[in-house]
Amino acid sequence: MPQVDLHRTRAAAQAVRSRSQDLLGLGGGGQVRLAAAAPELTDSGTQDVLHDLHSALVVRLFDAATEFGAVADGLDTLADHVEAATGGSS
Amino acid sequence: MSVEVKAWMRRAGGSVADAATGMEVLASSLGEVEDGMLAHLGDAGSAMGWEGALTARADTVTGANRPLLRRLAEAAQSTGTALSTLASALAEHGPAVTRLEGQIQALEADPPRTMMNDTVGQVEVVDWPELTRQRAVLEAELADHVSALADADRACRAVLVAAEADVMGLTLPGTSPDWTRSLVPPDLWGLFERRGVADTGHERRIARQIRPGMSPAELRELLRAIPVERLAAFLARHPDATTILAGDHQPLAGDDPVLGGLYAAMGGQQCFRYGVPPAESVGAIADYWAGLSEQDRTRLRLLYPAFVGNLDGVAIEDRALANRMLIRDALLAERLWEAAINAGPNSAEVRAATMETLRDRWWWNPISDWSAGRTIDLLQSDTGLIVSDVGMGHPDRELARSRSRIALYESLLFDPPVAPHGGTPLGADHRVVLVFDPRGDGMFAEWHGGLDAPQVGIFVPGTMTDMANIGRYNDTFRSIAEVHADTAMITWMGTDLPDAVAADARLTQYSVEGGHRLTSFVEGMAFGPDQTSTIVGHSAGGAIAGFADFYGVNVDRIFHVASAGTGPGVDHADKYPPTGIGGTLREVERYSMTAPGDSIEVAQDAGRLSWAIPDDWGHGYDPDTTPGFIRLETGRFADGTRLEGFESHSHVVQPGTDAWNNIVGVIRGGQVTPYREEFRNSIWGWRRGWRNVYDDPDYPGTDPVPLTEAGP
Repeated sequence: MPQVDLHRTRAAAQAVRSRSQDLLGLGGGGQVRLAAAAPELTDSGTQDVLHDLHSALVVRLFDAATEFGAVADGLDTLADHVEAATGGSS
Repeated sequence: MSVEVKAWMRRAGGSVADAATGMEVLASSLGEVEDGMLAHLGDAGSAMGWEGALTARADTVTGANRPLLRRLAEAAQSTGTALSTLASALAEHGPAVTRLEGQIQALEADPPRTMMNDTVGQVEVVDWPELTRQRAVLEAELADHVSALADADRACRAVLVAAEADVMGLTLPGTSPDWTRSLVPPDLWGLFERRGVADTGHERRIARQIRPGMSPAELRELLRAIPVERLAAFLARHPDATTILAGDHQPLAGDDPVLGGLYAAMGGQQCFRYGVPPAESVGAIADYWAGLSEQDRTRLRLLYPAFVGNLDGVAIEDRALANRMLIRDALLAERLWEAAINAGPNSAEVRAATMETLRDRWWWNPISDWSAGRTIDLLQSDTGLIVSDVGMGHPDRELARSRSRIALYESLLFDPPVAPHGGTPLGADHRVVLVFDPRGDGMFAEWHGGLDAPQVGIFVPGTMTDMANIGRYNDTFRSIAEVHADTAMITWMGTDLPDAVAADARLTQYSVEGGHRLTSFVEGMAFGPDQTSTIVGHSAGGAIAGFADFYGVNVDRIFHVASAGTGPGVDHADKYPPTGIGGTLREVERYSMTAPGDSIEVAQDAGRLSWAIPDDWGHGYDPDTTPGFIRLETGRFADGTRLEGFESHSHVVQPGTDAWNNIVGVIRGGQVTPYREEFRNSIWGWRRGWRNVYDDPDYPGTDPVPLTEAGP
């Protein structure tokens, strides 16, 4: 069983998860406000790109948050396994 | 005027500037997230014995190897800058455009004049040379502003198109994103792989075999090699795999004995009726599911998300987790659909092309233009009252509908629930979506509020409700759970609803299928003895509630709101079964209300006209006059205006009305406004007979009473 600092691993998992939540917050009603500008730009060339870019950003923020969330889960699982195997001594 | 000015050129650019600010903040925030991630991933590496250090952004990394988070931030920054420039151009030129247009109009309304000699002497006439000169000066100035705005628009568009390509290009179709891998050096990534924090080498080899077009069964065979406890993280890292699984709605058991056992619990796969298991088998499904190990539940939920997420009897938390996978996948698909519509012709262009075709075809008909235009206008109208799908394009409407669905999906993924769900496998910040199927008009159900709330309402909407507009009802009924912590609300659109009033809302099949589906769904909720459950069915949803009642749905109260009918042949509440699914004794309280003049009254009479209409038309009798129902008063708006007429059909489910207060009152067992009539003699202006007390505009209003005292 590898030597793993359980406390630091769990702390890192929590911090990574917190950052992934930040990404979700940025996407969900946060700073992506492109679509809200579309009505003011009706009939402009920029208008019909706004919705597409808005969605693309939100999807990617969600992608990133999901993947970082998975990393956090992976760190927690690693800590669980090491703790179970060593009785918490690692 | 010879200079073409578009409406957006007259705007001040406030929302554009706001969007620009948002993008710049996003770029900055992503930089902070990147810094934070670097530090945390470095800490994680150190905790595992890695001896390197990651504490700040490695600005030396350039080119395609830049971390994906940074590339995302760069796209946001360039978008923000471009929009900011456009907003500045609007702020500078927009007011000038408006001013100059006004000056030109004023000039034309009051042109310069001059005196000239005529046979009768001197007369005042328009000084055309001077008018032309002054107009040319103004138009030249206007053209400069318009040109500057057009240039700014073109430049902004070019940047945004490039930014979108960059953002979508962060993950190529059919591949997996590498947000983490792009952040850390290879030796740390290797450590993560060896310790199983990221894809192990074995998992990476599996990921390489996933390809578009692969069947769900083939993919599941591949995924067998991944331990269940690593499967969720693997699917999170490989959304293309989720897409394949999300499309499998009724998987074959094949050689999966646990799934086979689930089918066996419901009596075999062939027992599916109306797309759901029979209500009688839902208890057995629940028992089977509860008896599975956590590992088996997790595996089924991850490998069969479309099946498990919508299967009545599966635990609420597992359904919600499965459906979260489906929503993420639907968001991606909807985004692509939206882009496809957006790239095509708009409704005006479709109309013009159709007109041209008809003109060619009806060249001999002098009124063809007029009649064709009228026909196209009708077919492109938004009412949906007469026809629902005519096969002629209305891209603007489809675009708006697609964007509504995107807004709903984003809300379901990102916005917090009414109440956090701590202590369950579900994340505290996860919404509880109990039905999700984006195909066709879509199916959807969401639980709002505490899972153990003592009062639970189930709202069933009516005709023309689909995935593009269910969000409105979802928000409205969610508000009940937000205001009352002891009450949970479910918005249930777990069936296909009629698309148009005249075309198909009359058809009994919608109520039959919806009634069965609702009955199974309620069984799946397994409300406890301490919970009071109420179905509120509106319009066609009322008929579905009536049919579910006829099939023995296990709830405590059913409220027909502007309902299309009581259920098949139910002209007295005695005709509903005394026992429900599973043989439980039913003691259902039934309520109804319809505003005067609501057009649903036509449908409510179908039962009485059964001799005159086809067998597959109608939904039963009028609940307002059927014995065994307690009728409530739809009353007035808060401003005293009465709910009545055609529009009242929607107003009865609108907060701020007596009707809405009744809905809340019935669900919560609180106060309601009873329906009252009084006998009127032949007073002037009134016909003799029993009249609704609210027919008198001076009537002060009936005092609400406790629900238990609302009966006659």
